[in-house]
Amino acid sequence: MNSHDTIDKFLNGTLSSDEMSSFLESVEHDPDLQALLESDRIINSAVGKEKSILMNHDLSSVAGSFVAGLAATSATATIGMQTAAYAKKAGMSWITLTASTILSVSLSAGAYWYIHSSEKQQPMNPNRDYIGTSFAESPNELTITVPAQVSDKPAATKVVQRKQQTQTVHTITQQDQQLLTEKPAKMRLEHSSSKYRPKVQE
Amino acid sequence: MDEDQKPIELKPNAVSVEQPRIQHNQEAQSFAKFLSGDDNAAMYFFRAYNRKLFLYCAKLVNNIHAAEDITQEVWERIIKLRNQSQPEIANPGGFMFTIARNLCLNHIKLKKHTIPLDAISELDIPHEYQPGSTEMEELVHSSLDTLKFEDKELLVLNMYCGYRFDEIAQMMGMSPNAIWTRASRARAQLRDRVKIMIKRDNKS
Repeated sequence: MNSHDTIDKFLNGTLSSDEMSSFLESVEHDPDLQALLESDRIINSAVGKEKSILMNHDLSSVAGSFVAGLAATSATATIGMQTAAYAKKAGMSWITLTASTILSVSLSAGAYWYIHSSEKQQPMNPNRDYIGTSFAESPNELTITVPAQVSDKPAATKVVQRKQQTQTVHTITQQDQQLLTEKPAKMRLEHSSSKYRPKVQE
Repeated sequence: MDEDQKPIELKPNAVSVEQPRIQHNQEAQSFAKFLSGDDNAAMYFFRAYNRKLFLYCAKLVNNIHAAEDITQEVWERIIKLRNQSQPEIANPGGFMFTIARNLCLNHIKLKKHTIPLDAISELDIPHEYQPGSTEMEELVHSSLDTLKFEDKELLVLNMYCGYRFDEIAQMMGMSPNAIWTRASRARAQLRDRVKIMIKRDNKS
């Protein structure tokens, strides 16, 4: 058994009592063995120091991404992990990530609520002109709102008697027949340099 | 008295750090729960392995930021396995360290091919995060880096992650004797290098 094996066994506590006593005796007289044990002590000290530093290294970003990944597993695991990865790349801590998530959720909820509530409660502006028709209180009357001018004139309204409208009988006169039988003017498309506009043939 | 010249403390088990006991059957069951969507099981594995995976990666790639990314990638990959039909994983620890190992190797390969020597930042210097380390201790770290990847991996799993050699053998699917031999050889190399430095130091 070489000295390295003996040291390893000694360090692992696998030496028998006889081997242990002879090993300790040889350590006292053998400077080479002493140097090996000393180097082992240095190795352990170096490893211990480095390990303690690495043990204290902040791994909150990894933890954040893990939790995000777990939370998103039910829906889409990859999106959660990617979000966390982006956050990590951006240098966001776990607390920042959580705070920003809460903020974004509350903002989007607020925006959703605002849009829907304003849609329901949007009033008609009485001062604005609207084009449209509405039935008056009486079912026989039809109210037509005509847009007013840009000036401050109020919108002109015309109340038409509904019954009268329906009772109107159109009779076809000779003039109407002439208009119906008359051939329409031929249309010709002229490719002028200015515009493609139809021109009536004379 | 200088720190390096302290009398040698002859204590057995001087190497031993935390001694995790791997109970594969229980772990395999918990891991199956984790993969089937149990968040408590997931948190158990995260607490048990996250730091060890980080230590392992940090020492293998010599860059704590890359190690963080790799550790995160390991968890991402495991989470992606959730709710998928998977054969039962009998050795979850070994499974996770294998993922980490492959990612570390990929990182080292990529680094070899793409980063010129001048472009290596201070972050890549292995002893950057050890402001109070002595010359001897720095020598230990650089000596560790000169070992073969497999030998270095063994020592890292033993000295940094705190696994016993029989546990490492179980994780890697190798015989404990083979692991013991390899680890002893690697440790002997480290000792010899440090011993030479001590002799030089004493002469000067």
